Order: sequence, then C-alpha cells, then structure tokens
Amino acid sequence: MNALRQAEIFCDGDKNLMLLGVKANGAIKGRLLAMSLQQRFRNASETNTEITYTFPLPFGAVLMGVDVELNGKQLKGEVTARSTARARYEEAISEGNSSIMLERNADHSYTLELGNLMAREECSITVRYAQVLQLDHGQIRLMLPTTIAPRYGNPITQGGLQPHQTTVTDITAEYPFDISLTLYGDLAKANVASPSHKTGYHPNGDELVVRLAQRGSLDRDFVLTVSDLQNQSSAISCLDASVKGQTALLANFSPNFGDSSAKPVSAKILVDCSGSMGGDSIAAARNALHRIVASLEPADKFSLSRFGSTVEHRSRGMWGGTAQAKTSAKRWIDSVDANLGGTEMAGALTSTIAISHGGQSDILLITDGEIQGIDEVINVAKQSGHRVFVVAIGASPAEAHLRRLAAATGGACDFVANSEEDLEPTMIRMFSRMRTSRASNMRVEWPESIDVKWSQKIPGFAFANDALNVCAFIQSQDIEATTGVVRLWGCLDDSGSEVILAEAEVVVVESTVNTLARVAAYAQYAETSQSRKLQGISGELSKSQELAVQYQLVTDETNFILVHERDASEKALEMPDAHKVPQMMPAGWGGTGSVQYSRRQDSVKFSIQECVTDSSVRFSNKAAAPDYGSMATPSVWRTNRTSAAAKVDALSSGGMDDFQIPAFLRKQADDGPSYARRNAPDDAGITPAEFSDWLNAHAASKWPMSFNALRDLGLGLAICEWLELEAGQGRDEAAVVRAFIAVVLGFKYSSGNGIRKAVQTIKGAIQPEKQSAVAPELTAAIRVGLQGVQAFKWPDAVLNFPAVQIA
Amino acid sequence: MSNPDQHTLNELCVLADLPVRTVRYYVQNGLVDKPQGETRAARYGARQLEQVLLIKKWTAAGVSLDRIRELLQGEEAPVPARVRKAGSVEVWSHLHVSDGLEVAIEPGRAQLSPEQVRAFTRGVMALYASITDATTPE
Repeated sequence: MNALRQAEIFCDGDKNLMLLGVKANGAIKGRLLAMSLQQRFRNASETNTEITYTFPLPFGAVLMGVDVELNGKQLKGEVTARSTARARYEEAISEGNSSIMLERNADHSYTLELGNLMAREECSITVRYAQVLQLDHGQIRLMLPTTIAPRYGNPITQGGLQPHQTTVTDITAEYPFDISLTLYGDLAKANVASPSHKTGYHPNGDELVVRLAQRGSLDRDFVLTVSDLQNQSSAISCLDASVKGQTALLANFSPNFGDSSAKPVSAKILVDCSGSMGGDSIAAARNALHRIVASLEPADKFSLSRFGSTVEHRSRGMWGGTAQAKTSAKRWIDSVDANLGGTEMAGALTSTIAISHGGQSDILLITDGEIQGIDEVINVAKQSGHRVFVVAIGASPAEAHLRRLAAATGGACDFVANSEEDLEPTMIRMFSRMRTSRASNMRVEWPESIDVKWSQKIPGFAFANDALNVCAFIQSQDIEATTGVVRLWGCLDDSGSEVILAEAEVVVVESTVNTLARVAAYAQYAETSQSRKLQGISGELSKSQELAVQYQLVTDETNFILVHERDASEKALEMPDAHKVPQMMPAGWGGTGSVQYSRRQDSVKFSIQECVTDSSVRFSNKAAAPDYGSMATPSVWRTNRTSAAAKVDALSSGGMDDFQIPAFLRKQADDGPSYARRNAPDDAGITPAEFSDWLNAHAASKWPMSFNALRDLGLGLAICEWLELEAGQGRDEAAVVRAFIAVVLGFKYSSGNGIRKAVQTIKGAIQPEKQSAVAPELTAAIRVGLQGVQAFKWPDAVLNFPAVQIA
Repeated sequence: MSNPDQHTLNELCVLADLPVRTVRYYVQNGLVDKPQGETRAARYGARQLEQVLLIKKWTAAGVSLDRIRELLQGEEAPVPARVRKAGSVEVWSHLHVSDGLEVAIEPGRAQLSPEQVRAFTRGVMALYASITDATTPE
C-alpha cells in the first residue's frame, strides 16, 4: 500500500504534452547575470484548460519580471500581495476569463498557473531573473536548473507544497531546451567550459557567446564554469530608479587570509545510497570518495557511513588517516551501491552526529538532495554544532535545499555534474575550505563620504577565496559622490586581532532596468521577512510586503498576476480541465540510462506515439502497476525496507532482481542456525558460542573468508574492526579470518542444549576435523587479544575497540 | 445563502477551511464531484462538502491524493499479489536484445500467446534497431 506518496513517476506516452519548449537567453556583466527564460505553451486538447507548471530557478535568483504573449498579443501584469493576486486569479477563472499567475513555493521552486487557455491557443511566457554570481577560488559556476527530480517524502505534509504545486515526473516526456549566453569583460577572456552540455563558443569582438552545440532538453541542469579568474574584490553602485535620492551598492568581496596554515580535518563522511543515486550518481560519489580518502593525512580523523531508509556506519568511532585505515576505507567505497531504498536524511544525520569524536567535527555529506522534508534536516544539523559540507551530485540536484543546509550550519556546498573533469577541482576546493581557518566577527567599513541607509547583514563566517556579497542602499543626491573604498574586516579563527580581509573601489555604473537596486531590495526583503519569522512579529508583514510590491519582486508574500478579460463570446463556460506539466526525468536518474553515453551522441530521434499508434499498447502503468511491495524480498537484500519505499526500490532495480537472482543465492533451507547482519554500530552481534555453532553446522568450504563475510554472518562491527585494524594489521585478510575461526573453534563453545550438543558431537565424530592451515603467530596474537572471552560474551577490550583507541 | 445545502465555491472553501485553489484542484482531478451549473452559477451540495472534509483529514495524515481517490471511489484495499507456492516452477525466457539489455518474459503470467510473443519480440528488436541507428556517432 502506498499510503505515503513517495517519489511519483509515471509513464503516459499517449498524453499530449502542452509545454512546447524552453529557450534561455542570458548575459553576464561583472558578477551579475541577467537571464530570460521563454516558456511556450499550447493547449493541445479540445477543451479549455488550466496549465500548471512548477519549475526551478537557481538559488538566489531574483525574479525581475514576466512578459506574456497570448495569441500573438503582448499583455502586461503586475506584482501584488499574495492574497490579492490569488483572489483576482480565481475570480478571472470563475468568470471564464484568462489569467496568469506566478507564485514562489515553500521549496524555492516557482509555480506558473495559466488558466483558461482555450483549445488550440498558444501562450508564450518569458520569465526574467537576475542573479549575483559567486566567484569561488577563481571560478564562477553558473547553473540553470531545468527539471525537478522525483523527491522522497510527502510533498504536502513535509514539503509544505499545495496540491497543485506538487510535481510529477513522466519518463516519456521530452521538452526541447536551448540556451545562448553572452559573456562580457574579463569573463570573455577566461577559461569557459560546460561540464553538462556540448557547447559552441563564438567570440564577437570583446564578447563571447556560448551556445548549445547539440539539441538539448529539459533533463539536466545547464552548467557553465568560468575559471582562471583573479580572486579580486569589486564594488559597483547604481542609482535606484524606484526611490529618489537613493543609490544601490553591491560589494563582491573575495577574502584573502594570507598564508594560514592547513589544519587537520575531522570529517564524518556520509553518503546517500538511496535509489535515486543509482547509476551515474553513485559512480560519481564513489569517485569523489576515493579522492577524499586519498587526500587524507595521518593527523586527520574520519568515519564512513552511508544511508537510505536505514543508516550503516563503517566504524563506531573515527579512524586516523593511516595507510591501514585508508586501505580498509577504499575497500568499503568499492562496495558502496545505491541500494538502501528511501532517503531518511534527518535520521541518518542524527545517527552520524552521535559517532563519538574528540572535539570539533565536520560532516561531509554526498547526496543529490532529493527529499521533501529538508527543514527537519536543517534543524537537526544546526543543533548538533557540526558544520555540514555538501558535495551535491547528479544531473539535477536539489540546489536550494543543499545550499540552505550548508549555509545554516556554517559549511559550504559544491556541485559535481556527472563528469570526470568536474570532480577534481570541486574536491580540492572542498578540502581547502575544511582545512584552512575561517574568518568570523566580520564587519564592513564603508567610505566616510557615504551615508548608508541600510546594509545587508554579513554571514557569521567566511572561507578564504569564497565570494562574500554585500548589498546596501545609500542616501545620495549625487551618484558621483558614492565613490571610495569599501573594506571587509574580520578575525581569523586562530587569532583574536582584526585584519582587513578584502577591499574594493566603488565603481559607478548605469542601468536602464534598475537591476542592481532590485537585487539589493530583494536582499533587504529576505532579511526583513527572516527576522519577522524568527521574532514572530506580525506588524512587520506589511513592511516587507510593501517593499516587495514597490520593487515588483515575486517573493513568499507577493505573486505576479495578469488578468486578460475576454469578449463575451470567447469566455469559457466551464471550470477548466487541469493539466499539470510533467517534469522530464533527469538524465541518468536512478540508473535510467547513462549520461556518459548521451554526451557522445547527437540526439535520439524516437517517438513513442509513432510506434504505438497501430496497436493497442498503451504506455500507462497506472492500471497495471505491479505491486512490488508485496513481492518476496530476496535473501540477498539485507536492509529493512518499508513497503513505502518499495516504489523507489522497484525503480532502481526495474523489478528484475526478483527473478534474476541465481539459484545458489536464493534463500534455502539449511541445517544450521542463521543470523542476520546487524547494522547498528553498537550491536555486539552474535556471541562466540553462536559463531561456533554456525561454523560447526557448515562445511569448511562455506566458512567466511573475508571481514565482510564475517559481518554478513552477524558478527559485531567492533569485533570485525578489531580483527582488521588491530589483530590482523597488515596481514592477508583471508589468513586473519582463518586464524580467527581456528581460535574461536578452539574454545569449543556451544549455545545449544544437550541434544544439539550431542548431535554436534556425533557430527564432529563422523566428519574429519575442520582445520585448515593457519599461521601460528597470528593465532597466538588473536588468542591474546581475546583473553577473557566467555561463551556468550566477547571481551570488553574488543567490544570497545575503536572507542578505547580514540580516548 | 439562500439554500443551506447549496454553496458557491467560495462558501464551500470557508466551510472546509481550505484555500479555493486547493478545492478547485480536487474538483478538477475528480476527487470531488463536479458542481451543478456553469462557471459563476456553479453550486456545491452537502455531498461535496463531505468529500472535501474527508480529503482534508486524509491529506493531513499523509495519504497521497491517488490513494484518496481510490478510497473515495469505494475501492477495497488491493488484494496482495498471490504468493507463489514453494516448489512451483516458472520458466522465464530472456530475450537478449543487445549487450546489457534483456527483456524477461513469462508468457504464462503475462498472458500472451506465442503469436503475441513473436510480434512483441519483433517489435522490440525493430525499436532497438531504429533508436541505435539514429544515434550512432558521426
């Protein structure tokens, strides 16, 4: 029973798609991006329809305006208070008129409602936004998200969405996407590349135009990296066209800390192994992990954990970055797969935070962030005092979620598209942030000639070479008087004295569309509404709303609304049919095809409609959806998955595993006791007696040969780790396991009652002695380590193995 | 309100304490019965109010709208797929389309005749050929 709605995907090949495509056109000047997204819709049905389209915009994008063209006619709308806009929209729909509304959702996506589009009518909507780009470590990474991937959790109760704002993903949907970007100034001369798309570069005088070199579709984020830039601070000011005598100022600081020494890191690494990470993403995660582990030094400390519906820790404590621990970690990384079902991120974080550590630790989270309930996760992380560093992976990760998580905890977030060239610099940046000191207690020193009316609050911390943007409004009649030098002061972690971190000369610029002032106004709005939320002041509501309306900004309190009154003969007579624009499946999501291959090909020309028109086949699995939840779970799956996550599982496995498991792996009756692997790190696992029983009941050929096999048998994690890192340090794995078995058998324990003991004695008598060649000095070492062992209890020294070492 | 059992959309939303957009979404998606009358003259009765309140309660409990639709239409909980008896033998044919691509067919459970399986196989092979032809690198 799918009582809880998990990631919803359907396959509805015979449905007419009403989104015709999206075209993006942008320009980057300095650190400001101005982008316009043209979405074209067509009502392909025979009745009047209301189209709803939920789409993502980059985190930090400020919506500047919406241009509408209905049946070739340009229409003008405005931004008003949310409740007013909603009332006007509903009024227009009920009267049979047409209306267009754009609303910002709780998860930072946007929903466009296009009501009463008559049969065969077309509408083009151009959404314009501006964004201050971040210059981090000499690189600008521009991202344009194109689709919202299926997310784990309930979108209404956990995600805070309204029913019409929720998204569905259609595996057969396909919408064309095209983009053209113009780069000006120093950017045009920098090193420009796109890790996501094949692109063509066309120099045009001092400008550089970037265009797609192959047909694109809305199935992966467009990413453009501009690197080899100088870490230079800059500041611009521009007259505010909305308020007389006011000037907006934007300072992009690039803090420089001089030569600060690298500190050892203490990182708890947590990897998302939910179904959505399958395929390309988990491969990229594995690559990232290998790089992380390789860059660890002996003084560093780390732990490894992975999660899905459940969480599994590789160790109970933190390991030092020794060669031994790294070898063991590498083995673990190779076995990491996206097979843990759902994405219970909050629970996994809580469990990881609880791993014992001396002093300050950071969490390094590798995920695609596709969950609904991010607020709960942010709360958990904030309270723990751990900084969360996020490596976001996938063709379309949930950017807003992950950036908020990192920012709230004082960490940082970086992105890896599914390609090799992107990974290395990202991991280097991430580690340099974790290793070097941060600046705190920062303040901005404005030039004395400037009368600052409002300035943006500075975050509590900054990393070296990571951009820090500060907006301000200043009082001035004369724009030329707003010059001078702005300075950023702050204290480094290891010293108490205040130093200059960055400084920049203010440059006056001109703008016809008032972009800078509106970007600054949005920052002011966000601050006001945030403080209102924190303090619960209701009086401030109108103040922030007034500001948003004054600058025509679409925010949490204001919507864009346009009403088009139709002639009496043209009015709709009935409530419109609803059409929710299904999202495209992100490329390579959950292992559905591989992005690695699509980069080598031009395009796939293929239409489901053409293939099925002359038969009765319908690509709709709604009627015939198999009930994966009630299928027998094969015995090789060891995690406790709930049936709610079964849909996700079914996707990752394609439902094929159930009958593809070779006969020798299927659950079979055997004569001995069987124990399940226990994943809780504190679980002591099976007792020495139970272990002996199992060994006695099975032929020597079936005995475990590796540490992993011991774990599978049900042996506690602490014992396996002790064996691997202490007793058998540097020795051949199989030999250590053999010696261990020989030692335990030597104790001649048994948990059975008299009859079982008797049976085993008889068995022992008729079977030859189960002994294989073992190294005597290994056996001796293990026996010494196991001193004090009892039939039903492993010795304390072994059970507390990693904790003892750390203390 | 002239007739206590007849409400406009706005009145219905006030009674249920839900946004207009949400209730309209339920109507559009067949969760709530369509009203009597056209556009502004549309009227909702006690039955629709009852439906809206039920949906509100279930949604708050985390039940998906698809499931609510089934419950409202009086569907029973789905009968779990029959557990295959221990010892029963199933033969799956694996149609090998290309390296890394297989279609597994159990004609008995799929309820396909040999002719249909043949047609299916031919179709799959043709489809694979057509998409790979179009995508071979230049």
